[in-house]
Amino acid sequence: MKNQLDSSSLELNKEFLASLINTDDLYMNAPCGYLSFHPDGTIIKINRTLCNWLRYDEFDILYKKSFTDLLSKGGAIYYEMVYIPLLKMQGYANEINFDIERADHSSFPALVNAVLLKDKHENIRAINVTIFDITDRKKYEAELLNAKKEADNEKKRFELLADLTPDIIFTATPEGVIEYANQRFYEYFNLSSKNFNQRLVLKRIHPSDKIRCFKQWMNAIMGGSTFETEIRLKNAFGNYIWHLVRAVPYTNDATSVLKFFGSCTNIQEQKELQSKKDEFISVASHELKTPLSSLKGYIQIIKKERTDPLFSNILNRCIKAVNNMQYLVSSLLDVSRIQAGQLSLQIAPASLYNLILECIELTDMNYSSHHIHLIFDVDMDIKVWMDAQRIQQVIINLLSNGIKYSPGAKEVVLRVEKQPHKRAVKISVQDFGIGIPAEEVKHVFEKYYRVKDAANQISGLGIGLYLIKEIIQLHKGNIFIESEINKGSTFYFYLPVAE
Amino acid sequence: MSNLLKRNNVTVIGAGREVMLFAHGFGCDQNAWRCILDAFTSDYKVVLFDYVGAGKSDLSAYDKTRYSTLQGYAQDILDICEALNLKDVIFVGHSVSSMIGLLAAKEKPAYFKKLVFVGPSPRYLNDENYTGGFEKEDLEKLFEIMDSNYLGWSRTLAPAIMGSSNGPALGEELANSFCATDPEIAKQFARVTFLSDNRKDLSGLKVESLTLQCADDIIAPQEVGYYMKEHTPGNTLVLMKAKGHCPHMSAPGETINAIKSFI
Repeated sequence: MKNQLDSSSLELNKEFLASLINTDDLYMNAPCGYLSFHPDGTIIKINRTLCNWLRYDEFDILYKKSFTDLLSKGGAIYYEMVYIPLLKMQGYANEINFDIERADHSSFPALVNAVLLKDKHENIRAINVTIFDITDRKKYEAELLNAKKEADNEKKRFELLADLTPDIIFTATPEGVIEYANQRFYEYFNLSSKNFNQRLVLKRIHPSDKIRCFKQWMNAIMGGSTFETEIRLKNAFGNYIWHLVRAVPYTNDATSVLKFFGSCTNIQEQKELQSKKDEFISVASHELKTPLSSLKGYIQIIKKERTDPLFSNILNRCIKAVNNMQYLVSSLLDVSRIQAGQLSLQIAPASLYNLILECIELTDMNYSSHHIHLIFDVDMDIKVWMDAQRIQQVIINLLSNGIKYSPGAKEVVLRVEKQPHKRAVKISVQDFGIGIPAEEVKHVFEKYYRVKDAANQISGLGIGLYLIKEIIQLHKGNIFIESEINKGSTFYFYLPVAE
Repeated sequence: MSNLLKRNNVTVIGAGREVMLFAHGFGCDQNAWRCILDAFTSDYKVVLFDYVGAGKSDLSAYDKTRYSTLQGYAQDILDICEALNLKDVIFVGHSVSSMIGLLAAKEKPAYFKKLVFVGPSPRYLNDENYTGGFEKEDLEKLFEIMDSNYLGWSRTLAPAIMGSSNGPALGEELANSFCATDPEIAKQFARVTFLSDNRKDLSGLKVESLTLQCADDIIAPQEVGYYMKEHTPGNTLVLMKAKGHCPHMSAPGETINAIKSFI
């Protein structure tokens, strides 16, 4: 019963479906062009769509035009020499791109499919052609080509610029693989741009700089941050030359790094000048030390002899000035010792409270303008691991700085607090002064560095914070800053509590 | 020798002692001759080949410098004659191969007995007092079409643009596999073919030759046929009824008869 119904409904459907389709209409108004031509090229059938595209009347074409009449002359050569042989050998030729000419000699790009119709004696009766208008696709392709050309040009421009600079320039993937390097790069390392091997370049980093460089590079890659380091690179002649290597992450949005743009600048000359300067300072401070001691001794002898108030006052001022000079000279000598790796500390458990009081007293002797407000928030008898003399130097230095850089304020705060979960005390010095611009914060611990605006108003050699940092680092610690312009700065560090 | 025969995919068929060497034209390979071969294989030893870059030739043997002139292709023909020790060859060249054969015969006349030119043209570009049939712009258009029909595979240019310039991956279906010449080589061959000028070479030919001139051939118009006859010593001109540029495919019977009555 079910089958019967199925077959009869199928019959009905067939009829119904057939009635839906008017093949003539489908042919004439298809969304593509249809065309048939004789083996000699004469067009014998064409649909309305194609006539419209060509802007021809059907009667102007049939038996009057040849297929090659619709092609440019260049197209006709291709038709004769490639297309027709292809069609005859293969029986069909699909998706060949021709420009089809309209009645007004304008043209549109088309994709042409053709198939041969043969009789039973294998003679060609006609060729059926389907034509698709691909104007839009061609337009996109042209745009794509253009975009690629522009990108290529941009790349060429970048490479040309990169080759012009005397610096080494490179780009690296987010994973740190060098993908482009300029000519100078290959010249410096005497490597070939073909068969480039990154390992060969890494081998040229000075052994003493390698681990530091890798660590910093890894940090930059992991954090997508700027990489900057000074390392020695072995050149083509086998000499190590100091370079400042920088790599800046390039991102298209806030989250992912697309690549790193990097440069290596030769800083050998700067390094040499720097070391000459250090050498000079070291020698000069050594030479100054002895005459200063003699001077101080002689003043003290005179002081014993002349006790009248006027002389006594003058001599006290002399001694103060000499003390200041001795302090400067000893700071410079400390710098030289640090550079030579000769600053050795004697770290042992020592009482902090007494040390702090001494620091305040000694600072007060030199600066009467500010009150030093002490907040000692730990046990009075607490002991910490430190080289007491050096930590005293650090705290006095921080207090003097706090006072010098807050000319309008009345006090500085020296705070000693215990960290709840760490077995350490935090020592901080807070001032209410001019503060440090954010872009300068990372430089203030560099040797001889002076904060730009302050340098003209406040005297100093730019070595105080350098020494502080070095001394704290020799205690296996770090010095930190929090600073806000015109509000003040806080410097702090930690010392481990001794049991 | 076997290298050379592999390089040019040389095929030798037929039973005769006399040799016929068939040279295909631009855009094709030796298969183009298949409609007329049967007429000759019983009386002649028939040698077929593909130029380097066409058909099943060894693409790796392509040398840009060597094939930058038709002389380089003529050397292929001489190489084949030498390798197979061919003498008194009846050479049949279609289209550009007519001039290639002419150059080869000028260099080594002893190798050749007769030359048959099918749709020859010593110069395709029009010149002062010469009708070649084409202007430079026509050829530019041709090169453009060749570029866009790269490997007979024009579905989309995107892969070519985006860098996989080696064309479709192995196994990917080509729209047209026949005559799948390497696109770069085809482009250079087209330039060498259509920009060459061999008019001065015609007068030096010492071998008897036949020009088969088709009706309505846009590649080699009738004027070119007359020019060939006039400037080539020992040339016979036959005006065929066949239309187009490939009479050996469209009118095999007429072509066979014309060749047979000449040789």
